[in-house]
Amino acid sequence: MTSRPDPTLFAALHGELAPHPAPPGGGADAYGLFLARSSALGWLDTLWGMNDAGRDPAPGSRAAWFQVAPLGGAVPVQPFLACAGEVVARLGTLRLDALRLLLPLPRGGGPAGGAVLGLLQEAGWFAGGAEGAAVPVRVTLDSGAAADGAALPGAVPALLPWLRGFKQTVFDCASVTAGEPDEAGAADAAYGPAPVDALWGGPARHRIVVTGGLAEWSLDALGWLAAFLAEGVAAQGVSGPLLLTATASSA
Amino acid sequence: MRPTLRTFSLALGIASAALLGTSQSVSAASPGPVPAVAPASARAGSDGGLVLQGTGSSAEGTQEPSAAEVCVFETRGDYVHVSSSAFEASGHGWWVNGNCPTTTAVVTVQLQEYYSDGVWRNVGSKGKSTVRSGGGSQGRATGRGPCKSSAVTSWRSVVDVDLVGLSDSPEKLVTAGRDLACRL
Repeated sequence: MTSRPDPTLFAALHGELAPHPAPPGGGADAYGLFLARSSALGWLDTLWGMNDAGRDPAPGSRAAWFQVAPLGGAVPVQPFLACAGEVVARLGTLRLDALRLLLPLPRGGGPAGGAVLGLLQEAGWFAGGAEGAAVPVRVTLDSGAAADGAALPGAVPALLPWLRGFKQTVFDCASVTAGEPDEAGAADAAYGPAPVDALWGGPARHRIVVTGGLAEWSLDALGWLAAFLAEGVAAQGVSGPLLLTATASSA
Repeated sequence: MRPTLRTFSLALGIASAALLGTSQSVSAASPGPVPAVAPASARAGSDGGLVLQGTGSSAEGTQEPSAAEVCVFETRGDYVHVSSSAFEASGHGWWVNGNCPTTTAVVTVQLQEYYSDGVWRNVGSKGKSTVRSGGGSQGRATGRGPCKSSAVTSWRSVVDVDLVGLSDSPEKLVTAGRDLACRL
């Protein structure tokens, strides 16, 4: 019997969504599209169970959001964001400004973990990217206000060498630092309130900032980066979940 | 409309087996037991996970319909979860029409919380909507239960579909239990 809640994977896509013309009678919504697409790809009830999805009724920075329950102990952040990206592309054309992601952490991660080696193989997807597509990104990770959340800032010294220790070309890590005290307030002002505290141990408090060059500004690349960072943080003994906010400095 | 089809649908082998199983549903908590985390043996949902096949018919009264008069549909639900924007548990239910001669069904979603005496109890407000087949935010019913604390507790939902204008099989979908940082 566990005293920890089952994990939740949540993503909010921020930016300007230019909607496609709606068909007569209205088109499908984010929930219906995400359900249908993840079922068609074989991911529904295997990688995750559906929770909810939607678009905010008023124009704002959040274009769409998605929430699922990961199943089987894995954290399927790459297929989750890939599916979300396909749904949004079905709704309209999104200029993605930022991603906010509620990220469960893998258990038992480590430098030689199989999940990390899998990520290195999956990095081959980005080998076909356009020349000059790389962008500088800034990622904040917040472990919330719980007592064990303090382990995240404590991981800063070991995380940079861990991230630089693998041979990959998707993310060129430039720095890992402790977050500034007003970081959470600034993020909320820019992107709206974080998911309710009960989903991740909020409110925001213990955080770090990771900067570097990402192979491309896309949900695919952000999904890879989120999975890589999750493995790195878990390898330092942090148990999560984390609230991740990613922005491109050119966005 | 309600059911004249149970025996018939079981004979056809179309509908799933009894879905409420050994769970006991009561409408109010007794003073002794408290909300708790369910053991693995109490967390399984219906046989089909988050989907349940059902049958319907336009046959009237107690007369059992012929096989040609029976249509099929599915009852579906998602996992009960804590909402991202409000401190409450919620769960959705909808239906998918196979070949039933109706366009709408009344879908109800009742959330349940597990108690230390092994009983799943109805909690929160039952969701009830008359919707078309398919799901999506406009085609589902939502059950809700406010959280009074973030103590980890097991939740699940019971989803019922009544085809409008038809008789249908009486089984209800029971979703698998989830441990949430939410206690009513």
